[in-house]
Amino acid sequence: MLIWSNTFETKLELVDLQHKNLFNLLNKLVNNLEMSGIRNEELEKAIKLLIHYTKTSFNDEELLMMESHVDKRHLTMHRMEHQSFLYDVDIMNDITSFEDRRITGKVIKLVRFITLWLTFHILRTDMVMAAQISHINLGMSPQQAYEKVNSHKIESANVYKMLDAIIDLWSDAKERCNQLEKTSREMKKKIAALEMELQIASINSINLIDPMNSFK
Amino acid sequence: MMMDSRIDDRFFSRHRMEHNSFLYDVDRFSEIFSSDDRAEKLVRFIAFWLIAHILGTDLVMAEQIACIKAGMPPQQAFERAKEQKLDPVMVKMMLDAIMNLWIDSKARCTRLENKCSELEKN
Repeated sequence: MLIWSNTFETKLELVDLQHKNLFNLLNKLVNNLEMSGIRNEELEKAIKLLIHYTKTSFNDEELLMMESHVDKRHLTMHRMEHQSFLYDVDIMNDITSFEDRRITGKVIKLVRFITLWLTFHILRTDMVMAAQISHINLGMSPQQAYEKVNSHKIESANVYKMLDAIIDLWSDAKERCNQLEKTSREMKKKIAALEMELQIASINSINLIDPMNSFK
Repeated sequence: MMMDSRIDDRFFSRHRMEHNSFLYDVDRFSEIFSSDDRAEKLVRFIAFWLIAHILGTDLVMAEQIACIKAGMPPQQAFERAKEQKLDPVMVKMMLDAIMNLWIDSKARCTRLENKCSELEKN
């Protein structure tokens, strides 16, 4: 669940509105998951809506940055974060069959990822964007605005929130790696066992094919 | 050093956990990567980890220890540390370092996934 608070306010009207809507869509998805008897198609719909809305809000943000002439260095980095997020979500969302009983687990992971990422991205990248736009609107050049944001001291409470989110994202990725390693080790064992069986079978079949061997 | 100064529990256990997880992760490097990759990846990991750790953890800890030595109760020192405003350049370096650790982990996941798909085909 993502609960809206002043902490997340960028003071940019459209951006804040879209973020609030994103939180709502995400929380709705969480509620859906907790409802017993929810059909997979409904979950799929909710996820598609959330992702679609996220893409829209990313586009709007990027447009806003361009219109405000935000320094290219920030714009490029910001855009890359958006794209990387969509790429990661795409991979996690690669649920080939919504008939899959394990779907709830996958959706829970997806929700957790989106929650952590949004927390980190809004508090860090969007806030930096908002500060630059505000400076530019007050007459600073994009370059000055870009450099100025590096001199604002940050509330440590916010730093802890960002830190927690990014550490959790990292932990989750490591955990996934560990699972994959386990899977790959098990697969290798199975392959080795199968190869052994094949070898034994082929040795046996050679003995069968040439029974005359025993008479030589 | 931390135990001597009786730093507030909440912070202490988190700090401890990071040291342990670092040792655990470094240990696993020898299992994970082939020798050509290993050195570079290990150096990268240690570098980012140190940056994040020194900036994020030790600075705050040093501040708390200083306050406690000056007579403040540990709980108060911890609360006070939470109210500090932090230098944005250091915060950025710390968060960037952890982001890089995250990105490297994701890259490893992708490689592992490809490996698993190949194994499955066999």
